Amino acid sequence: MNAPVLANPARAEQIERLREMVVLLEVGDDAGFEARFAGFLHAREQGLFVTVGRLTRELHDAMRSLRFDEQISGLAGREIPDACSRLDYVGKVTEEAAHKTLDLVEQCQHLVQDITLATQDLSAACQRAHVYAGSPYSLSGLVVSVDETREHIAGSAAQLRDRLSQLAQAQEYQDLAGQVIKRVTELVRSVERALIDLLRASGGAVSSRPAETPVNGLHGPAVEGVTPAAVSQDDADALLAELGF
Amino acid sequence: MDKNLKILIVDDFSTMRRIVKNLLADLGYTNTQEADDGKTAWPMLLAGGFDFVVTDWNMPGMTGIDLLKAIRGEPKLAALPVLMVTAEAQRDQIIEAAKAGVNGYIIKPFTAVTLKEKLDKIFARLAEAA
Repeated sequence: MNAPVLANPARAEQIERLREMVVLLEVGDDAGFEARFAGFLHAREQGLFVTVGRLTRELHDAMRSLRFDEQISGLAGREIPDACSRLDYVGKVTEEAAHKTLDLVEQCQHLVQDITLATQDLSAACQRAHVYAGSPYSLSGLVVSVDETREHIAGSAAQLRDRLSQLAQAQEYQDLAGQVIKRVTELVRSVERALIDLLRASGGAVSSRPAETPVNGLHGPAVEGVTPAAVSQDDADALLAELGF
Repeated sequence: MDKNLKILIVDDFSTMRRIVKNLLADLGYTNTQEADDGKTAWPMLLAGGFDFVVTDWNMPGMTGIDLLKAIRGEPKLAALPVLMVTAEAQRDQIIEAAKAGVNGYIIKPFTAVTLKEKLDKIFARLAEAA
């Protein structure tokens, strides 16, 4: 045996353990061997855990000294969940606004229908006046009908005006939604910056703007400048025609 | 074309379902029902009685393309006309839908005119085939 090798106490201990295990095998003490072997492996694993523990602590210290951990824990713990809530809010608010708008549009359509029916009433009244031209009540009858219809139309028109005004008002959501979206965009940019800093600090390179990544292979609504190769309805029609549709 | 056609509208966004329902009503088709996902639409279709399906593609439970494939794979529903109304505007998606047997493909945002055109075209072809 080399003197320098034996001088290392850890190595000397390892060699001693292995010698004991060989002896146990030679005398046929399998149970004893297994126990010793398990203990041997366990000691090695402990060594590994100690090393990993040390590396983790060193990484943590490095991140803390670069102030990354504050930044990242802030982003992950608070700002990103915030951003998600904000986007949920935008989704909810735009959905409500759309339904409200459609409700008002339906009401307007009914009022327009009302006005149309009223003008039909007028036609009928004129018809009657014509038919009963000789009778003394024909003209006064016509005047009454016209009067009533005029009031009816004026009433419908006033309601229509009111609904249309509410309709315009219902678009106010866009201001709030727009502001919230702006905030979330800023947050996404700061996450982007933090990630790039972290990547650079760890020695990695940042690739140039990657292509848009589809989710499940789907790209979602086409956004100009972002969605690659989006086709128009005309293109879709042409493509389907080609395929025999 | 029989305006009493029973139509199933499938989309995970309630506003879109409402808009399609209104447009169909404007065109005279008032016998409509709604489903908020391919997953909820499927049992409704199996229960029977539907003559037409208008569906979105991207839905969380069961996508429109999977619903279409399921329809074409089920003997008693295989001939059901399916119109896809979706934001997906990629060639690959259109080709996949065509291969799966879609009858029409509309890209969002769309106009009432486009919807009418595609519906009329589907009905014309069905009449030809009959």
